[in-house]
Amino acid sequence: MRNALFLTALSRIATAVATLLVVAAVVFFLMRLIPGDPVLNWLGSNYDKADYDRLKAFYGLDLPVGQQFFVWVQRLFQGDLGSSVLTNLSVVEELLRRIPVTVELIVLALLVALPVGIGAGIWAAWRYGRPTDHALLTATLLGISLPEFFVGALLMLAFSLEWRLLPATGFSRFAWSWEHFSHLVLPALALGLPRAAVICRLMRGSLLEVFGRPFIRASLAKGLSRKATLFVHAVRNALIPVVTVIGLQIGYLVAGAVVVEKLFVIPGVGAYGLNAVFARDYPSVQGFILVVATIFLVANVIVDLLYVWLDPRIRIGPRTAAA
Amino acid sequence: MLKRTFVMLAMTLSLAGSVWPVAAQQAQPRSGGVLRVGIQSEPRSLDPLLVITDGATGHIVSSIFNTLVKYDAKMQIVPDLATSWKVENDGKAVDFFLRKGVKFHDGTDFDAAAVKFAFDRILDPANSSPYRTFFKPVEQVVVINPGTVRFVLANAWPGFFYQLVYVGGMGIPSPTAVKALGNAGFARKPVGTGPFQLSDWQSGDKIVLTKNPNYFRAKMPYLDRVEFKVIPDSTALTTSLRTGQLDLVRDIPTQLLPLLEKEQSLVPSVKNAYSFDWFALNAAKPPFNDVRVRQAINMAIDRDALGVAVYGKGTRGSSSQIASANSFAHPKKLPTFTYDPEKAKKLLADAGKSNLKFTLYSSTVKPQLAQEATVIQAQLAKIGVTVDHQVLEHQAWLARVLKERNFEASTVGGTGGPEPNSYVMFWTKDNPVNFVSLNNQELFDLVPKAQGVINEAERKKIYHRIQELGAQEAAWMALMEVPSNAVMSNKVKGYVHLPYNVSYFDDVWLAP
Amino acid sequence: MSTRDELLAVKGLGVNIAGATVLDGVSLAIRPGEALGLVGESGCGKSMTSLAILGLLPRGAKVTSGSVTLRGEELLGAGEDALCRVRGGAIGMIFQEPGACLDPVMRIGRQIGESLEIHRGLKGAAQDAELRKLLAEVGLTDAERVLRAYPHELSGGMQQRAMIAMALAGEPVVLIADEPTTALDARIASQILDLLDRLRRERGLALLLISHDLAVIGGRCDRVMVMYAGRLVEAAPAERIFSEARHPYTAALIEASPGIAGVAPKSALRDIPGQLPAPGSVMEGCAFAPRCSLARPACSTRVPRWSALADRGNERGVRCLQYEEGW
Repeated sequence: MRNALFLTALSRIATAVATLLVVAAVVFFLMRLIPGDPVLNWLGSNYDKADYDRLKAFYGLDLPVGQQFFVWVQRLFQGDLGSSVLTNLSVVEELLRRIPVTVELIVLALLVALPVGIGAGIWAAWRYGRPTDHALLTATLLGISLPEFFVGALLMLAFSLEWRLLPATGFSRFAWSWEHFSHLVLPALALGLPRAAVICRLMRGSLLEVFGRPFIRASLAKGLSRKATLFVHAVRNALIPVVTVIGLQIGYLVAGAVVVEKLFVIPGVGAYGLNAVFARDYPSVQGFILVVATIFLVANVIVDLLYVWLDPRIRIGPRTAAA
Repeated sequence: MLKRTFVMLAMTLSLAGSVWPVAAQQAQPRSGGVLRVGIQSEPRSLDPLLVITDGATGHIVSSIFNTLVKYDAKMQIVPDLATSWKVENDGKAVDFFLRKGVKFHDGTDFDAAAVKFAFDRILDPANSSPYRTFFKPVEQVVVINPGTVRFVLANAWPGFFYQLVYVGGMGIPSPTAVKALGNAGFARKPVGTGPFQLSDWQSGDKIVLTKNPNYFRAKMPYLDRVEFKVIPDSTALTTSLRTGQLDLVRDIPTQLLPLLEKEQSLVPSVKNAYSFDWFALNAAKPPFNDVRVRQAINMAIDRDALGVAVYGKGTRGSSSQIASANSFAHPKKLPTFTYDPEKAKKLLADAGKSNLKFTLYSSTVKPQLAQEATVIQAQLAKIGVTVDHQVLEHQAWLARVLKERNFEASTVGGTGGPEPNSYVMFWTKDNPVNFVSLNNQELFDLVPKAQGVINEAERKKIYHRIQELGAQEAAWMALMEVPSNAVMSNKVKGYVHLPYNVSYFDDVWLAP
Repeated sequence: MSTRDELLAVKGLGVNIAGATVLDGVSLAIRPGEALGLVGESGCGKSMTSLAILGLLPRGAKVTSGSVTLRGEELLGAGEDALCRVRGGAIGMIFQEPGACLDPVMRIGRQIGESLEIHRGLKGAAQDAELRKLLAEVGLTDAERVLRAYPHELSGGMQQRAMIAMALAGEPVVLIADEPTTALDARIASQILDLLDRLRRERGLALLLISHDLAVIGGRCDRVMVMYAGRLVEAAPAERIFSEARHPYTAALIEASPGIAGVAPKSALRDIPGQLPAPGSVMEGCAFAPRCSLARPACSTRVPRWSALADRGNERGVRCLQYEEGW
């Protein structure tokens, strides 16, 4: 029994590693298909062909692409992601410094997206068909259609420029201080609110579906008030499909972090990746992709666990047996 | 020598908004405080010798390092680490007499050996310095004594002094620090003699410089710290300026200026500069391998209208190669193209290209390049030329246009400098940056020759001739002069807006 | 029967959904210890009646007339708090498909415990002891496992027993069982019916047993009421209705039902021709007229009244024009 568990865990990790490698390989070759040449960044408006060749060789970019990939994988297994073609800084060090920043931003965004999204979804479903519901639906439609950078810019104009409540940009290292968090409030909102809109709509739809299920009527017939029925029975059941989608939303959060970090000048992984892509800084792009894919995989494992916690039917289902 | 044109926009507005203008003028400089400067892109390196210090980088390295000579407020060459100099041997040798008692931030002494170390570093091919080709005329750097250094040149080189302050300037690094840290390490931990020293670099966030207590100018600088905050997004940048999170931003996208001019706490400054946006036609490829077609297209562009459309009121169209700020090399009567669509039509007809169709690229490096292409597209449509405009992401543009030369036409952004040579130096036969494939022997002869002529009148004549030839070739023509701007808080005093990638923060102080 | 005996009384209940009449003048009464069967095809309004009693009509449904009283106290229009005390308290209810009526993500023990807590304020050890007692009463022996189980871990029969335990938790005086055995196989179904029977006797419960299946109702109830298209069409003592059905619909229903105790089906599984009218479309005359073999032209224009019948001292009634004057 324990052996089987160990084996399944092992196969799961192996699958994750294989996924990471495939993602890394796809990005590796794709990046080289996009026109661009990082070496040109170092050369000015007047250079010798010899300078160009020397730099190209220095960064190992003169090798055939297949060989470059082989070298990259070889180094990867030694924990070395190389150094940036743009700044010569170690990719691993840069990423390690930036990962906590991005993870914090994503966690804060989730702290916005989950309560706001789930809360608003419950409220809308509770007020189904009434003005509150319509208002929330309209607001979420806006939230879904507005991209993060637009929401961010609006928040910045309102909270920083108009009301002068929060700083527009800037960042301070982690501390349990207002100084630290004041810089993350707007980014977390910009990143979290569009997600909250999506979650709100899902939660509303899921709750309305649950409201129609017999056990809700049975709960009312049992003497539970409508509110108690909502919170004790309906919400938890309605959360089950929502949680699956939250896993996907974490993917959107990582993608959104790229934009939000750039807008609010937060030195996280996203801003790093964006710069790297624009500069064709291949080693940095590869590191970035590994981090993003890992965050995504870890998030999905967490969602799987949440799922099991929320839905007891899964524990003995074929899902557990396979996973 | 250089005739300067100052365009101070909204000057009246800012004065009207100032409650105590007299008191402010009489105030004495005060020490202390932090100047927060917004920059739109983060430097890749702060090593002034191994990276092109354009964009924000120049403004930062010019505070960490000193150069042998520097600019004054009128962009004239004045002493910095060299207190004086002597040109000898018909211009083939220059002796610099160095400031005494200057120390690097690491406590080591600045002397002639440090100067030699710096320039040997540029010239050593192993370092792949982007400035190596610029300093090709330098044969040798010789330490005469600790206070004197001699540059031995292959030929007389009047532009030499300007080259020393090219973009961010050839800052002199601490040889001890370079040797200890290596090139990669020094790029992140630069050590110079400047008024400020690097104390913190949070990549993706900010670069913090703190006051150098041992700076050779007594009691200078006034500021305790200068913080450069990286803010790539325009909305975030302007908001930070307007909310007082930033004190100064250089060369903000021009379309944002009207918004900032309305803010009473901000003082904008706009000056004629050394930048052009260019129109590049590939002379090696049909249809622009025919000079008549190139000339016709250039005649059909209404440059003044284009300039105003893209950079706003007061922008001047130009079809020169050297900016009007370089009055020395800029002829009073430019051999320019005047807007003449009828003549253009006729020329095209003569060339048998009446129904000309071509592809015009623009890079994403700045938004104006695409806007220009759109206006050009509309203007050329009037003479029956069909333009297919394609925007290329900057790296793709570099690869396709600059490296592969696989293009017909493109708009291009580019900056020269106070030294006229900086505009034309790559017009030589095999230069990798001669991507328009200019092929004119007289031009190829004159460009290197101009560098070596000491006689000003003769040099002037050569640069005028170069521009004539450039206009004849019509493959690489300016569209308009791009102004430089600075927007600062009204608390910032003593900042001189040099229309170049350089800032000296020694004399800057903050009003309470 | 005097009204004082009546524990639960429904009088002239009318319900509309979006303007369409779904219940029209439904009256029924039930005494302590009595089992009343309510029978009819699905969609005839049986479940709507039970939901109206508890004030649990679906969104959009409105009571237009009538009253519902419990021990003489009006339930229609009562406050939500008062209704919450009645639901699961004085009136317990069980539904068909016990699997779907139990919250799939909550342990059985907690679901039953909830009722104990809200109606009797039992918590902790007292609740636990009562839970075990209840489980024993409904015939769930492995209390330890059942209390910790999630609904999907129990069989259909066990789930229904758990539902019954839940309905009993509030110590009800009336138990409404709406199709309690429809989702179960025959053997389990009869066990559940036996259980309901026993509980009724032991606890003196008034049982309102709702089913589409006369066979389920037949042997278990004292009285049977037949519903058609939102109206009661016949009421009779159970032992009499099979032998002497008065309404043509009742007769057709009996004919279509296999294996009713004591009555052999005349033809196995014969369907009643035609189908139940759509709600709200037929209130012109007798709703059954289009399917009725005895129908006359008057049947589709005149709504039949409720006619009390004398039947050896039994309470009987029928809603059919043939029992009215002038037939």
